Amino acid sequence: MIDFDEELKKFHPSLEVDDTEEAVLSRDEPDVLDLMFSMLGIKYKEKE
Amino acid sequence: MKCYNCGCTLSTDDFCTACGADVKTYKRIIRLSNRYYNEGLKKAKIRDLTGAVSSLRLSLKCNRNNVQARNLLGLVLFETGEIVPALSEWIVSKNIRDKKNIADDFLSDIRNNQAKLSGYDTLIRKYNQALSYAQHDDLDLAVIQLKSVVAKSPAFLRAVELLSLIYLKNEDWVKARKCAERGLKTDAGNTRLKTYLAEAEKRILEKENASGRKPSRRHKDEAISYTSGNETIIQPLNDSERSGSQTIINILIGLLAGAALMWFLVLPARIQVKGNDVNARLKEVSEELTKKTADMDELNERIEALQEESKGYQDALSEYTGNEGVMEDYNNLLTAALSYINDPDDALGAAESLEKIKETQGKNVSTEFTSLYDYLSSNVSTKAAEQYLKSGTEKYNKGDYEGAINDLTEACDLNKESDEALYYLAQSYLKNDNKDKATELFNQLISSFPDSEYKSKAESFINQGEEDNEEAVIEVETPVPEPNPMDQAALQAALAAAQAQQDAAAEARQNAEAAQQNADAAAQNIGQ
Repeated sequence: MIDFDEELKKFHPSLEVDDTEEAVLSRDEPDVLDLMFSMLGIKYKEKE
Repeated sequence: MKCYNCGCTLSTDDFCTACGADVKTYKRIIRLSNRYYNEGLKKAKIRDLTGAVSSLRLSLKCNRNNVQARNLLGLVLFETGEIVPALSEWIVSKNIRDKKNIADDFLSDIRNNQAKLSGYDTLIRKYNQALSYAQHDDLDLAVIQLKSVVAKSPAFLRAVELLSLIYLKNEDWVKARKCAERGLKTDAGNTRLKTYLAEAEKRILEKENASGRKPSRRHKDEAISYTSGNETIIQPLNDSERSGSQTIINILIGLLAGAALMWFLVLPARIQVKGNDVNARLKEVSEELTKKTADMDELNERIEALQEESKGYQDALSEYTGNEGVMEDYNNLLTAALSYINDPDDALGAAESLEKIKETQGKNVSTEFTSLYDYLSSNVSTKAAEQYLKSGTEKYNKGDYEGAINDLTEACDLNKESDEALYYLAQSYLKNDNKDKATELFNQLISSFPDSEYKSKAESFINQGEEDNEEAVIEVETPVPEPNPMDQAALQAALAAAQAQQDAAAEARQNAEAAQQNADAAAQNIGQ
């Protein structure tokens, strides 16, 4: 049996087009390579 | 693959041949990222978009500079209706690699279609509003909004999921199932929708088992299954559900198709047939008209010919019957002849009749006519001249100068050898105060009759102006020879011939009149 309220909580508002800039700028999640290099103390080129 | 330290292309060794940096782990992470990308790509191809998103996010978690994974992620998100996340992935991708990046094309497409972007934005706002309604328990309003969003963008999965959930909440199991199935067409791996679908099907089965009926039809590609006792019966489906409105729409479509068929196929053919009939009739009427016109022309020509003929008969008739006609000449000649036969001494009447013939010039007459005329002229003229002379002188002596002038003029015309008539005619003019005419006649007398006894008197008047006041005295009449019996017989014969000729002329006149009447009647009939 599906709990409507619980399921409803899983729904979030969708980003509007005006929020695109904010969405782009707020992205800063590090990837595994970043973690590895930070552990090794190595700096590498980000852009190709 | 390039070295993270110096940027040189790496070989198969676990170290960089240029700078000697240890690249073993680096390579493994890169390979892992690429593997996740490949998985994501496979899942995207089989429409497992949720699975594709997971794999691609993992790929980016390993290597955030994996441009291919990022572009594909953006594409998959766009397909599921997540416009802004898709745009952000592409923008980041373009930031990582500026040139030769397919994200540039995606962004250009969206940038060039502002109306569509605005449409997407509207749908997102509607969804957010519907979510707000649902969170505030206004499920009806939420359903209305979500229906509108899903109708315009069936691939907007969030809206489809929310709508399906609300249907489940409202216990509209069939609608929930339908909605979930529609969403699963876009994203076959969407676990949420699969859960809702399973829930809806379960509820439907429970309901139908409880009512003891056969289950309703589900999907056209699927089979229905229901339990009957200890058996489970699976029955394949043929058609999908049809609502009343769809039936009406189908009927309307059928009517329109029929009307279109009639309009484009049947009607032109019938119009053409009618057109051909009209053309044939028109041709027939034209031919008839041409024929009638030709007949009319022919009849007009006939009318003209008959009118000419009638005119010809009219002319011929007038030659016979007119004042200058032959009939008139014959009448005058007969009158003269009869007058002469009855009283040979009465030359004046015969002469008058003969004078009329002279006026009409006696044309178109026979030889008998001419003979009789000549005979009468020769015998009557002289006597008539003497009678006119006698009558004229009597009037002169009585003082009736005008009467004298008339008679003496006739005398001179009938007998041009009479100097006496000429002299007394001149005297009559003189007495009538017409000196000029008198002078002229006196001169004529002097010139025409040099041996005349009246010449001296004429000269006396002209030279000295002496007038002759004596009474006119004329000489004894010259006896006219009696016509001999032969002449009399000839006269009678000529008279008979003239009479016969007149009868023939009368008959000819009648024939001419009849012919003219026929011609006039024919012309009249044709004109009607």
